[in-house]
Amino acid sequence: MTTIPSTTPKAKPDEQFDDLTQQRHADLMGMWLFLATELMLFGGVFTGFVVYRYAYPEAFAEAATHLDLVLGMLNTGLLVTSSLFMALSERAVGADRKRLTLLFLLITIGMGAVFLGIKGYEWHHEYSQGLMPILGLEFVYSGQHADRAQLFFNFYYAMTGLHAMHMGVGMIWLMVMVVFTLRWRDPPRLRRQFQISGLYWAFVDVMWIFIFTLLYLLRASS
Amino acid sequence: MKDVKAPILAWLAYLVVLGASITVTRWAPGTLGHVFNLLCALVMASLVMVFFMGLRSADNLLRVFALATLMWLAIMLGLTMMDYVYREIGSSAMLSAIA
Repeated sequence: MTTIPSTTPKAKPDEQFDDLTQQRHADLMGMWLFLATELMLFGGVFTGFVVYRYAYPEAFAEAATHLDLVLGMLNTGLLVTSSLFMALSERAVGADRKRLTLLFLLITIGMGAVFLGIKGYEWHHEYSQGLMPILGLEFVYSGQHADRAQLFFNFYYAMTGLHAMHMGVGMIWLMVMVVFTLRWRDPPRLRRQFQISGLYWAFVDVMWIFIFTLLYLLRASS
Repeated sequence: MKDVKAPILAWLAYLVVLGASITVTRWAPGTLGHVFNLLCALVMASLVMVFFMGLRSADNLLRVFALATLMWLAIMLGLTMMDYVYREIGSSAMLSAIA
């Protein structure tokens, strides 16, 4: 006669690992390796920007005054708050609190959506002012050194576009985590998945810190 | 839930540093202000990495791995800029070369 266990069976590692601790370390190391490649991608753009920021300090500082500092600040605050809720969701899943995990996760996704909405509004505002020198659009600039300012805005759209793309990927990833949370199968595995997801989301936050500082804050007095 | 206090405090510290950085941008822009902005960015990034990316509780191997990642970025940025600074990027010949 088959007996059904009354309690959840003890979590086992995947067959290639000796134990769960080793598997968790491998998960984290693998994710950090992926993030290192991502950093090289962003790092190349950052390095290019720094070279030209050094070459044309006045033109870049003046061009930066055309960006909306208040919206940039709001987005920075939103993103770090979403990172906080992501970190809290990791702790909630660790404490086996399904509804709280779901709530924190949905708040994180919601804040990510608001971030992208604000970014979209900013892009539209810059487009309406003729400050979008991409896709063959005409660049209208009233200040000095229009050609160098155009270069600044090329970097602006490359950096914020690359970041927004990563935000989009992150939000799709977190939506998948919502489905996993609703199912709530294999909590130890879910905890590891949350840890990995949290790493990616926080990494996107770290990249934004430098994008915000380089583009919005290193400006001339307006 | 365990260990909730640390991320909340890190979040508050982040907002304070962000506020300081923006205040300096509004009231004291310039070279010194820009240096302060970059230092603030490093502090904010460190707070996120230590408290939200788990480096605070990670083992030493993972911490070394994370630092090595940053080191590669520093090498790329450092060697690139060393070249441009050494070759006096402000000269007209250099500017036309990179333009």
